[in-house]
Amino acid sequence: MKKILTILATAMTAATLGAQTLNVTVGSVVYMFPASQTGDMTYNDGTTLNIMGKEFALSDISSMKVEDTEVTDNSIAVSYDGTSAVVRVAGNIARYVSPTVEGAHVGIEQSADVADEISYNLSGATSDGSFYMSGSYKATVELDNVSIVNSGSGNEGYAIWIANGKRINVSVSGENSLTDAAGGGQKACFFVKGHAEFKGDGSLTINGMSKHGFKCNEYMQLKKSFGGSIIVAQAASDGLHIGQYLDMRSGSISVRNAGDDCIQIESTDDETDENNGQCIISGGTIDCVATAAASKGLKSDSDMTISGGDITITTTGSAIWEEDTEDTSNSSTSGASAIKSGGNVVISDGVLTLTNTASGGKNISVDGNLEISGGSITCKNTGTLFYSNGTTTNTNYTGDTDRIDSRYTSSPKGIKVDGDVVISGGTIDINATGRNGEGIESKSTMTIDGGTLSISTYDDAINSTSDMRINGGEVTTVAANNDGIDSNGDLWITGGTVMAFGASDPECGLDADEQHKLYITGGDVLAVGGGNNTVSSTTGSQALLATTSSVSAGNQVSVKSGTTTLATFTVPSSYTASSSSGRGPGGSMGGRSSSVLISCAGLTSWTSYSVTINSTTTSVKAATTYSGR
Amino acid sequence: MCATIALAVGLPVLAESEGYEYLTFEKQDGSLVSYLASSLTINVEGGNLSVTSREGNSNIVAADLTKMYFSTASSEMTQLKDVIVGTEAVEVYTTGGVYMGRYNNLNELRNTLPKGVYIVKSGSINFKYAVK
Repeated sequence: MKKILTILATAMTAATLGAQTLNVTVGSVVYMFPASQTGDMTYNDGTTLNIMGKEFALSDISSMKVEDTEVTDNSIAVSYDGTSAVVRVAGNIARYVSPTVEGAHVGIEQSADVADEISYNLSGATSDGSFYMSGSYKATVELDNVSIVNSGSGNEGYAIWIANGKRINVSVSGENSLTDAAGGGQKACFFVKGHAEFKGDGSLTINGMSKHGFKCNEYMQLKKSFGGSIIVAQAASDGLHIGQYLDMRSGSISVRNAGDDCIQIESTDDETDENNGQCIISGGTIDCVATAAASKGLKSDSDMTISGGDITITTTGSAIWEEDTEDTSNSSTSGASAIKSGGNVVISDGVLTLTNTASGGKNISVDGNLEISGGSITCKNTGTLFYSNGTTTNTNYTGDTDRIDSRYTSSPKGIKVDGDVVISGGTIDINATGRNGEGIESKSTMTIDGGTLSISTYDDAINSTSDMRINGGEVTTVAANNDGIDSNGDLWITGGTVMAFGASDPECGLDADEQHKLYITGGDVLAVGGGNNTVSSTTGSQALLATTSSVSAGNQVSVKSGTTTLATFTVPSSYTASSSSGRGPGGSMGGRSSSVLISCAGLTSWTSYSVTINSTTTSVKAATTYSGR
Repeated sequence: MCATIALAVGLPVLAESEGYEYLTFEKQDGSLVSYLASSLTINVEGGNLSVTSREGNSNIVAADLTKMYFSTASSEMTQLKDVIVGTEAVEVYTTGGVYMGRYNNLNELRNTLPKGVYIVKSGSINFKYAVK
């Protein structure tokens, strides 16, 4: 009966046991096998033990303990503590991984036979450690309040090195910090060979001591579920260096003290790769300060699409002379840029606050076309004119640039576009007051269908190399030393509200190239400058009024037909009245006055209207053409 | 019959338990050795397994082992269960030590022997059994 009673007692005890685990310790690695999964664990010749397909040499095993611990299948936990680390491997995946631990340098080889995703949880702190993982199946890396400083060459100097080319989920929770080894040959502090998808709500601070802060060879995605932050506190080269594309939907990225660009997105070698070289931002916050010479805040090899988010970028690094040793004719100056795209840029929403203080720097530079249909873009550019011919450099050049090869200078500009510019919405506020500073420049055509543009510059406020059409929107331009609106092709104004203020003679409020024409067929137009371009007649021309007057900031300008007000304008506060003579209607000269051109709906040729400027009213006869310069 | 009733209550409890009470080793000769699993520690030293359990310390020569597994019943319980369900032969003694014979199973014993208390032996286990 004693035996029977004992059996009964133990049976009752068994009912209350927790999750039993057989923990097999091999060095600093603990394999945790749930008792419910182990089945038969086979010995062979007294030399090996096989548990769930994991073959152990008995001589390697320090101990085996039965403990009541919870084990999550498909998980590996790495706990750092000073200069040591412990790796805990869930039993069901033990046979698929080969961990090594040297001090706090952890390496895990993941077998090609893995059929389920493995999660690697990193926690604790190390003053000389790292994490390496290889494999060919997607995986998750959980940064769980981990602090890794690599002060040596273990795992090749990286803080985290993911040599797995598949999708890597990076889950960030709590406060995490990574610092790689200085002076090493590693590609980044945190390197992912494949593509990285970030989620979680924690913070990740990165110190890239040898090259980039973070680098992935394929895309980087900040998922909508990512409410955390990636902070690159310093990087020897780029803050983030992304191999295929950036897809940012949420979270925040901050970069400071980068030796090169804050965020750079490169194209892969395979042109067919999805979104190759692109930057896609639909949400989240970017806050970067690019301080390196000619560096970029956000740079993509190919297209950039911004449909949301809050982007604040400051550039302070002066332009440089870039020598092309293979073809010296391609050598030229290169300036900083807050946003730089090698392809097209589409902005439909979001808040962009871009500041440049660097000599020759741009706020936005686009190699392809630019489309803006929404959002808020604020560009402040106080950079100076940069000059260099490779031997002589001047970061505050004040000489005449008209006879200098353009390769030798880099002007500060709000938005510079090599292709076409189409603006149909949004709010654009540009202030580029540094020498030769321009607001929006297109090397091709410019079309404005909508939006609110307020641009104050040193040089041309808006400039296009080819035709420019303003069909809508509210466009206010003030150029202190050149034209308010300057088209080097035809200039068409068909709608919208346009106020263009140019500098004193010979500069214009509205200016088209000598070989081209200015047409006005609609809109409310006020153009003030040392002169204005000749307005040509065309089908549907809208009549205009031309006069001369002293115009100052804050003045009200109105047009009345009898007691009916046809149009009113308020001269922007940024306008500084011309100090030299303006050219009046028909080429006559007015003393210390500006040429004033007004066009609006309701005007009829050969009819006189009351034009009031700063409370002084004159009668002006309307015409469909204007003979200016 | 008392024993039969007691085991009939105890065994279902074991079957429903999520825990494994024992870690059982099977040797090359087919014999089983069970240890209480809770807090069991096995250190590998040379070719031996040094086992520390709540029941004490013992050593197992690794080369003698074929496998180990978690079980809800000890090796003895496993044998006892086999006896009860009638798949194991038993040898029977009186409480005075007189050998009464070998029976193919408990049912045969109960139908053959007169009323009284006997010592039943099967493999490495012994227990008292009352025939009423």
